[in-house]
Amino acid sequence: MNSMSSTLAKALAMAVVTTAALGGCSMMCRACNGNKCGAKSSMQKCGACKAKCGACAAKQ
Amino acid sequence: MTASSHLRRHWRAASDTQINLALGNARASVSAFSTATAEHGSLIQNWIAAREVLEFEHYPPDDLVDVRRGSQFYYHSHRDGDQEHGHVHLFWHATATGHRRYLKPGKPRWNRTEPTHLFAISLDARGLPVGLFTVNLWVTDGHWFDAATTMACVDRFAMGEIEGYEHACNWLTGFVRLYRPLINELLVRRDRRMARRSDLAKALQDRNLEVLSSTPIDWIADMDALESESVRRGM
Repeated sequence: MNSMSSTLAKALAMAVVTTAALGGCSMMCRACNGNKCGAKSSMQKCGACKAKCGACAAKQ
Repeated sequence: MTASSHLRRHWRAASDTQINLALGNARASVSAFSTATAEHGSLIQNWIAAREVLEFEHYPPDDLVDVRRGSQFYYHSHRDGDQEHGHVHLFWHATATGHRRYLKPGKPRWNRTEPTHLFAISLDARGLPVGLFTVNLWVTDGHWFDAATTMACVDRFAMGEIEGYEHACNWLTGFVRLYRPLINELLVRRDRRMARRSDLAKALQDRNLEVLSSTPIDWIADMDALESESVRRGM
């Protein structure tokens, strides 16, 4: 085995397996412009998500 | 899986200087990945910091932003199936003409637009990169550039060492440079697909078009292929 793949294999053998994501807010309401994967700034513009659907509020 | 045939062809035709550069990026990226995994459990564990992963939430919560280099990324999870646990979205702060957008101290980071999305990297539950993909404009917002202009942004993407995330930032910077040929191919395929639509503006907002191009990757096999190429050349 070559050196880089060997390093990667060793790292992966030690890696923590993260559990699958739990359900979150997928409302994509108009406040976010339906922009589901935007950078953080677009999500923070108005904060209307919390007020509008309550889905976010429940987990905060 | 096996090594990417596109990358193998690219490296076969590359100069010794280019192979050396690719090896440098590969070693930096592999080393940073290995250290991040040893220290935090995985790249994902580093970003989630013992929190539960919730669909669509950003990790770290405020994204990681290198203001000086105009680069930004975050991890999140919301797609079911195959190998992917979640993915890293990469952005670059560009003006409408694709130039660097400089942020002024004390001013809001963004006024009329958001950072421009470059592409995304799928990770498995151990934090191993397993795929690359591009998305439609409505998914992330920001400016829409053709493949050549987007690649110019990709080439300027770099994450300095942000405290607490030094290894993750080094991994990402090296990884993006290493996979440049495949990212370029992905963006060209994205453009070709959109060129088939008669109305681009409408297509960019079409909720039925989300992922525009994608490719699975086998990082370990790709590293073997790169090292084999350097051995073949006696480097």
